[in-house]
Amino acid sequence: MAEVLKIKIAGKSILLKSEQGDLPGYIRNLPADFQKKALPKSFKRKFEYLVLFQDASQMRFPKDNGLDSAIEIKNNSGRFDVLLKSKPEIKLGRIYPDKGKADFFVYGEQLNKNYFIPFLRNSFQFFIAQAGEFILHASAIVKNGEGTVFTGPSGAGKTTISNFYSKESVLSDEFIYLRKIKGEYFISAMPWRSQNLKTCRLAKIIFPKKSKELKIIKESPVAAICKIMPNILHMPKSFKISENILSFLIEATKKVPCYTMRFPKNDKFMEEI
Amino acid sequence: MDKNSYVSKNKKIPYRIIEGEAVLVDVDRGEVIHLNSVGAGIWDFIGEKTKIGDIANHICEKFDIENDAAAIDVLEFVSSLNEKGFVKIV
Repeated sequence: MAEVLKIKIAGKSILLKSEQGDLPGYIRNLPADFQKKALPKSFKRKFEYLVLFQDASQMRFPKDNGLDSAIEIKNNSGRFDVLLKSKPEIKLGRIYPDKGKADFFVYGEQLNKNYFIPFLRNSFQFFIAQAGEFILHASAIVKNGEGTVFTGPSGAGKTTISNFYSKESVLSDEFIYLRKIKGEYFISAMPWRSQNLKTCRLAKIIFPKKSKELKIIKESPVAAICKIMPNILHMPKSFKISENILSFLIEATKKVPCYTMRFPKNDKFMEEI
Repeated sequence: MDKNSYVSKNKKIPYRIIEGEAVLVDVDRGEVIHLNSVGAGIWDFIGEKTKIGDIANHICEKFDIENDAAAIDVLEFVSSLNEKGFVKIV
């Protein structure tokens, strides 16, 4: 029996289907956040995932928690193969960015269930990157309806900053979807790790750096781009996609001011942003 | 590599020049390089087949600096671009 599931991620309609049998339970019962809004009757799929069942009899799957960092994505002439870094012979799936399609391989019912959300997250990144949009490792807060994004390497202070704000003000403390709608830039939280599924206009981007004194410096568009790009979730190894993202960021950094903020671990910075 | 060598840009490197600065993306390594105004001026001047000596002359004129010092710096900078695969000797 074939099974089809319709979900939405950040407003994008997604079809998950299996042609060989029922979808595994961990896909059918995705977290409620993915299915929060009632889907309209005229569901026009934007992206499509085909679940393919694989022979798991010889498969020795490492026992882990499905971290993004354990995944490797290799360009295979425009198709992207998703592999386990520690066992590259295990393919988790394939992504066809141009078609907005991906295949997810299921080994048994439970063997690679921890990798479904990372696979969904990373393939979603490849799809939206076709338009230069991306998911960023970042925290974000909302103040008077406008969003401020904090991005940087691990330890820069993204989480430290979001901890100073109330839960209602924090859009996300890990992943932000950055996109352009009618000439304006918007940020959305992603459903796999979010308290707050709002979308709001992006007012500024801040690169935090822990320091003894508070100092805020405006960055040039190029400096800002160089600080944003390394924090893009699994930046696809593709010339075309890199070009798309560069074009997107050039427009975005001209319109959205970007700052480096050196800050001590107290709440004084809150008055400045 | 010396001032009489010719270099060209690696066409597989996406880049942009904005407000006199440049951003270069090493797609395979996933690295992003920021070039200041002089670096961006050198990168912008490199074409299909550009002599390193000509790059140095161009930089001297553009930034009003002495030729001898510029020649050494340009050679060093272009060598580092070559090592990273951003340019190649032709």
